[in-house]
Amino acid sequence: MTNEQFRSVVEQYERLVYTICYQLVQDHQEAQNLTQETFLSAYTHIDRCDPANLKPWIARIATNKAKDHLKSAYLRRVECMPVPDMEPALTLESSPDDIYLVKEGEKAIQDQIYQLNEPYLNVAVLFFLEEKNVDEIARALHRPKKTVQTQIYRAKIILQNKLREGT
Amino acid sequence: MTEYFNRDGHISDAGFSALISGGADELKRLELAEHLSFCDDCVLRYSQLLCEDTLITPPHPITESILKRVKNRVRVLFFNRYVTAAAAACIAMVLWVTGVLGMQSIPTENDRFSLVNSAQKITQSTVKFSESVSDSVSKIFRSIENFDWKEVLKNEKK
Repeated sequence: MTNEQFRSVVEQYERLVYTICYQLVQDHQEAQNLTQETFLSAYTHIDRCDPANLKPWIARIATNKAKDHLKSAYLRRVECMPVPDMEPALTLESSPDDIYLVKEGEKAIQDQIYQLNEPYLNVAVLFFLEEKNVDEIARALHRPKKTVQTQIYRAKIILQNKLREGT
Repeated sequence: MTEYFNRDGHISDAGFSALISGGADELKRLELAEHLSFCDDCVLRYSQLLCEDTLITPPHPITESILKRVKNRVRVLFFNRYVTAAAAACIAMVLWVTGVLGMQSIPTENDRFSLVNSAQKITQSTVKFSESVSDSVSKIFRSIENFDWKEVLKNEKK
């Protein structure tokens, strides 16, 4: 692609890319930076893109740039709380009362899992209730493994908060 | 509570609407961005929803700054490739001059001998050159010692 052709691509999609970046990060300065980063990445790989799919392809690059920015900003702000083990502790010495309480606890967790919204519901059901591993969940839901891991982690945090509120 | 995702995991109409209107909080926007990063259907739908009426114009024009950064990136890439190619050519030249490239896969006694011979010749040449430089410097110092500075100063005064 020549420089002139790329200039016309930039002029054609500049507002689209900026809009996507701004709608996701909600900051004009950051949206401008991410727009520049988007076109830099696009320039490197544009010869591999089918011209008929240029618009969604550039939109995908823009959302990836915005996602990476949001993720790092979110992680910096949110405390990494230790997530308690979701497995209830039952031993051979457990009394019937303990077993009853643990079973009630399991039911409460199960109820809370089914009350989750997407994108955590299906991941939580497969991981906690059906005991699938990350690879299996990623294949079943057609999501990247890293996304599944992130969603499992957040689902645990949500469930923990909900169970605390319920006690 | 508004659900931004359908039961099948895709972004709902409410989700797209919140994204376009700016009504989603940070976590929701992150969740939406994560989904758009891998879902072709949703990113296609999102790009189609962003029509002329909904597009935002940047507060400052950025086309020229983008093109400038692209030009700089191209220069850096070209320079890196040029330096890499030049380094590879130099290494190849050194290997060719020393005869390594001409060697068979299993060096024979003759090959080893010629390598050692070449190394010895280079060492001897370097030693001879160093000795000649050292002799010249010594001669200069000796001539300075024997120089009649008084005569020179007398001539200068005259």
